[in-house]
Amino acid sequence: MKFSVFNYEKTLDNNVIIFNTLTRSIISIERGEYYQLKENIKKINYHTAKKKYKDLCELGFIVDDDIDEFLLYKYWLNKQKWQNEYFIVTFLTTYNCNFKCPYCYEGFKKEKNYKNMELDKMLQFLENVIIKSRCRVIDFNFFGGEPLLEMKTIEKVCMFLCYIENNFGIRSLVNIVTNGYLIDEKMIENFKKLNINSFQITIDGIERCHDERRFLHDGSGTFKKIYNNLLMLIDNGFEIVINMNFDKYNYRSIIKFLDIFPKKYRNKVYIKFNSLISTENNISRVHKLKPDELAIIYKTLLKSLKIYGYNKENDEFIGYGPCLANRKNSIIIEPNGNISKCIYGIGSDKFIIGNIKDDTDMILLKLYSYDEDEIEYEERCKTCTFLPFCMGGCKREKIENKYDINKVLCKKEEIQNGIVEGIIQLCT
Amino acid sequence: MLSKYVIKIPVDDKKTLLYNSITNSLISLPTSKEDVEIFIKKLNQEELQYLRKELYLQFSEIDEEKLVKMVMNKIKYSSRSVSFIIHLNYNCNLRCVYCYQREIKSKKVMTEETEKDVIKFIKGIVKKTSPEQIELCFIGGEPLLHKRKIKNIINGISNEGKSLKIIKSIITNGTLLNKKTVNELINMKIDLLQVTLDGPQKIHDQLRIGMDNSGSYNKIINNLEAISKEFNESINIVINCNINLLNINHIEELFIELRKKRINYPVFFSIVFESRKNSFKYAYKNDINKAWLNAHKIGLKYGNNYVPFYRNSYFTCSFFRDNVFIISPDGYLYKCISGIGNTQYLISHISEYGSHYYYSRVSQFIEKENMNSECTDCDYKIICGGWCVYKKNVYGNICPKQELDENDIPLIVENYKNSAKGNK
Repeated sequence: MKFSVFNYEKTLDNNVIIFNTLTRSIISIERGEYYQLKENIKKINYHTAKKKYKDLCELGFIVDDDIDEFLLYKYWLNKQKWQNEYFIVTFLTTYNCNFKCPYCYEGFKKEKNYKNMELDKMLQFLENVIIKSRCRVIDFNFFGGEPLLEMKTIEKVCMFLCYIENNFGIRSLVNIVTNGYLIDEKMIENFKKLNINSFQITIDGIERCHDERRFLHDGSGTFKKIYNNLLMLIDNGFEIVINMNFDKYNYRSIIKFLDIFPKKYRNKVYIKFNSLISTENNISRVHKLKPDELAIIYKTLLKSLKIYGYNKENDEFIGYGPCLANRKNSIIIEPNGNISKCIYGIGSDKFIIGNIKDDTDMILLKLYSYDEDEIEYEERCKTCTFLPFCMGGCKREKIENKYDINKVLCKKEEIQNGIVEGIIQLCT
Repeated sequence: MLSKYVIKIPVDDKKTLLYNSITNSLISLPTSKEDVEIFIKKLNQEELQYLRKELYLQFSEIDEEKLVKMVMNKIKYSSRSVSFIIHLNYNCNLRCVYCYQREIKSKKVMTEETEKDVIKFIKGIVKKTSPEQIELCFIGGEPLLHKRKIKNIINGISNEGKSLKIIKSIITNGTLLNKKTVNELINMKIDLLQVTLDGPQKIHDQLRIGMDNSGSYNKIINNLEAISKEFNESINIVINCNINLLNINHIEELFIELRKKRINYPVFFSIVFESRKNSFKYAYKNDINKAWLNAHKIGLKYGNNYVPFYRNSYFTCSFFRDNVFIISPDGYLYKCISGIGNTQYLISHISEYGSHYYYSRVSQFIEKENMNSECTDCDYKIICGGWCVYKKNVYGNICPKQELDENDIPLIVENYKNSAKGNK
């Protein structure tokens, strides 16, 4: 038998911590025992060892000698890419927003001069696509701009999802990605009636810091209102993800927020950290972190989750699979009816595969053949420990930086020092 | 422009068939092979739209290679239909000279415990992947030696969700298909029985021999005759004929005998190849000449219009599909039906399904690169898929292009002519 190429090991005191980037498992072994095993591993037969080293085998730290783990990685990736049980819809009810966050990757250009599609046509399109995809569950996400500006649209879409469930037996999981500002008690009653499951709300730190980054068009702050609404949603039983966008100027404030957030709510929310992404729309307004800066900050943030007792399984970090663009059964519908693949490419024509007015079969063909270009992995990639995080690299980033989309965009340093080291901090 | 994977096959100088290997469909055009492109240019918008939709034409927006990869991957990873090929036993009441299971020394029969494990395994997969339908195929050895096990497994699974469609079939040598058994199978709602006949009696009995050296032909043909007479519509049967060098010149005699007995079940053909080099002297080696085509041509003459093309689509073979499970009598999963009992094709025990060990094993088959650099530009890429891994393991790397050109492609024309005749 042999150790997996996806094992990342780190010695801490008298133990060796091993994290497997493919199975996302972590284990701690006494140092002496580990080095003894390492020395003898080649001589041990996998099948006889299956009992003795049960955990190590089951969690993928040890594999049989003849296993090519690059093929295992491809299988893992393809299974997720091609899963056909869930159909993921991300629907922008509007490009408009009541906020004017400077770092927004959707840019400001979107606000004027677009003509909304007809909702009925969109729903007809959606019905066709969903039926033809033969999915079992719709993973429906309202997005924007600020989606709650179009509450009537949300109501109509939820009624449509109810019709799909009643007539075709396809159920829905409904999530709203909102800035949280417009929510009130009346709206919450409405959310319950509409069977909304979850919300994702962004908070960028404590009040002062948050209000510098996320403010209304007239510049006034938004923290107080969002914070109250957030607690109200939790009290009403909705599932909540708090999204926190960080760069080197606000991460300390994020940690302060994690410290002051009431203890009784901490195990009721999922926390998600996003390093600010710069796209061609916001590049001048975003401070892009250098890999080593990103790594240190990310690690610190993850560590603080542990320190302050946010116990809810944060699988955003652990179960990080291919992005929306990389999943076959995933579409993003923009307010003008364009269908896009990349959430960070909203408004850009580079990721648009068609429009709701187009022939459904053609849209599905384009959807399924999108990103079927084979990534040319270099030999060193095939045994790289970080391959299951890298997956060849982000297509948008490659396009925007005029990089060959078929080549691997190596981010080894960032993944190793930021994500993987961070996870080890979080878990040990 | 026509897609590269649409194969132009001339019928005569005024008619050309377009075989679409992406969708496995066929259309005919009233023009010569040379003028197909000119003919298509003259079509109206509606006709062009049809050809586009059915993937006969190249798309400006979608690269063709991407499209092919997409079609292949979609089949590979789809969980809409899941197949279980269940070997109930290795024991058999016949000892056919070419049987690929002769290599297996064990005569193992599935235990009751394994039966329960199999039911649990199937139910688990149904729950996990929520397919629209599952296919259960019972095979052996001779599976009808253990009818009870078939019944137990079917009953164990049938209460799984009303919307789940279950298609049940049995691959049997046909010797045990007496009236009582057939009635039982009808009660179990078996959708299809596959029975093998390898030629007229004098040939069949040399190949498919009973334990006491007696032939099996009479038993089978009498059973089929009785079923055809008495049960006619209530059970579906197909006859498999394993072509080899001994029976290839006697196919016509088989059809004459079948028709004499008023047995009109469809016949399909398989090519006998070896499980290891020189394991059967009448097996076809690399070159099957036109055996496949000739056998079908004779069938057509006797009204047998079973369209065989799918049988050569190797990329959709179980080896590369995530949702085909081949189960041995002792409860192990294999990736190739001919490789049952052979560790080269072994994945894991069914109880290990879903474990890291299972995934690491199964990925070695499913993600295997079966095509080589010469396949990249080949028009037959989709039909061939890099060819049968099992055969390649016996005979080395072989390209079946000539075989396809000499057999499958002309057979498309033969079938077309035959159905056109029928339409008149």
